[in-house]
Amino acid sequence: MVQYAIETENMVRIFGQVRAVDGISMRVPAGAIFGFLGPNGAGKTTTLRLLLGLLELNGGSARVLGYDVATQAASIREHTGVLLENDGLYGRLTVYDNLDFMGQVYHLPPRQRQERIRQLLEHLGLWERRDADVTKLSKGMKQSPGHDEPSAGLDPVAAVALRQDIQNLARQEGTTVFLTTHNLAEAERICDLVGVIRKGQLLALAAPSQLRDSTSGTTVHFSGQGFSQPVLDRLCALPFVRSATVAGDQLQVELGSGGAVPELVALLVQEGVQIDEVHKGSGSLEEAFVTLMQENQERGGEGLS
Amino acid sequence: MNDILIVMVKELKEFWRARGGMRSRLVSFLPIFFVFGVFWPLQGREAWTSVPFLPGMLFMLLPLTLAGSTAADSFAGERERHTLETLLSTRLSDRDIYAGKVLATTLYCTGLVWACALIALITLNLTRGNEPIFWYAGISWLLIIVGTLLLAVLMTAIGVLVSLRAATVRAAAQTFSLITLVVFVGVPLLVQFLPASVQLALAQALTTSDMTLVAILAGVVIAIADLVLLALGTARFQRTRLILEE
Repeated sequence: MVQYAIETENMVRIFGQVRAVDGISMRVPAGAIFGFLGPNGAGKTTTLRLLLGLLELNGGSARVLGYDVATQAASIREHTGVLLENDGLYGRLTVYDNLDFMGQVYHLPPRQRQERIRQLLEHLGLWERRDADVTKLSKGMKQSPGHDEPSAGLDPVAAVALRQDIQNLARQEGTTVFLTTHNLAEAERICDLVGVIRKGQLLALAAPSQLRDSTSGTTVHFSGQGFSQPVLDRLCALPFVRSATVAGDQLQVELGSGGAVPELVALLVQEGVQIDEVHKGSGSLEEAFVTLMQENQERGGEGLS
Repeated sequence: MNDILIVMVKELKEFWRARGGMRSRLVSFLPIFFVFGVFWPLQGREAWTSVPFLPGMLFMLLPLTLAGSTAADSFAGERERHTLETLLSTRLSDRDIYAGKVLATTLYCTGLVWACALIALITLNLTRGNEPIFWYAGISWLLIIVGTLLLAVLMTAIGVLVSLRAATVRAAAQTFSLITLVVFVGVPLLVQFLPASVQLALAQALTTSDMTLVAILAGVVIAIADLVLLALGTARFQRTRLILEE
């Protein structure tokens, strides 16, 4: 088994004057759930197509499951399954026939195919609807087998079940999952690793928690008495404090890199503040994502080197 | 070969189920079976049983009218229904997908011809009273079995090339109709502008020639055209190109 399911080195794809994928280098460990995040038109779909060998590279190199995308694309497609923006289901065929067709394409023996389809449809609660045309299914039911926005349109219970299925795929079967999504909360919940792309460039590649900490910093909430303006001024003068705001008996301090909570507590006590409660937390992945986008825009669009 | 058959069966299922429920499917096929299998044979019973090549010639109209739209549904339809990229993302090779689709379209059209030919044969014999059993002449069998097959491949191959450039089934069908119109109406119209002596020579050649020989020659020409167009289609059906046109 390969160590990295996906390895790219300075991958480039150009459409006319547009560098849709602009020098992406990344490594995704085998068995990981990888979330590929980015705004519309960032290059997520183009990257996915390049990794499947559906588009040719204009520069750089990429390997998926150890196979070179330029010369062994057929082997990549032999070992991967993809669900793109549209559900890709054949509306004229029944639910069963859709799965049966894919099973045949991947050369599953008839008996094994039947068992697998039954298992899958029973698990998704669709076995009774197996002979129904796919067009007769609700949007949520059509998305059950998977999608590039996996839980969009699903009720909360089904969404949790689907997320669990994706996690089981990775944890129990060792399958690497490459998920392109706009749903950052979902990515935060299930992904082991996330990549953020903008204008074809990779801005970040890290675990969701690392990304949150590195970009949005740490937020410390204080409850207590004595949060006066001079205290706020002293706090804001500290090099590692990004901002400090007071609302009644609540003080919120945003820490940058190198910020230490004990130092903060010591200063507040020294200033005569009465602290009842301290709570340390990180921003959300969504905040980290927005920060990354803004920082990248301010830098003039430089990606990860 | 197995992969080609997998695609072919999927396509045939889609053609069959495109017409809705079982009743709608039967109703949609009934007019074809009625016209080619009952109405025309009964109306022109004398000609059908006495002119050797007539039944075969008439059955060739079916692939001529059906194959293009069926190919458009198979190729442009896959793009229109947003299933093309998923299909291209599978392990199936470009050649297997192309061949499976062409084979399905051809089989669908020729299958209809053969079914109609059988119904017409039954109709003609049921209405012959005590006359001996009627059987199509050799030339008609040749046209029904080989001619319709070659023509179905030709029309499918043209339909595929048109569909690969069209965004929707409707656009593909319109372009295909235009091409058919130009070929089958434009060419006879052009003959009108030939000198009278040439027209006469052509007419004489057609009436005095052995029709079996004419059919075989036409078959060879169509077969060559089939091979050329299939090769063009295979070269054109590349996922790296198709993805960019999505």
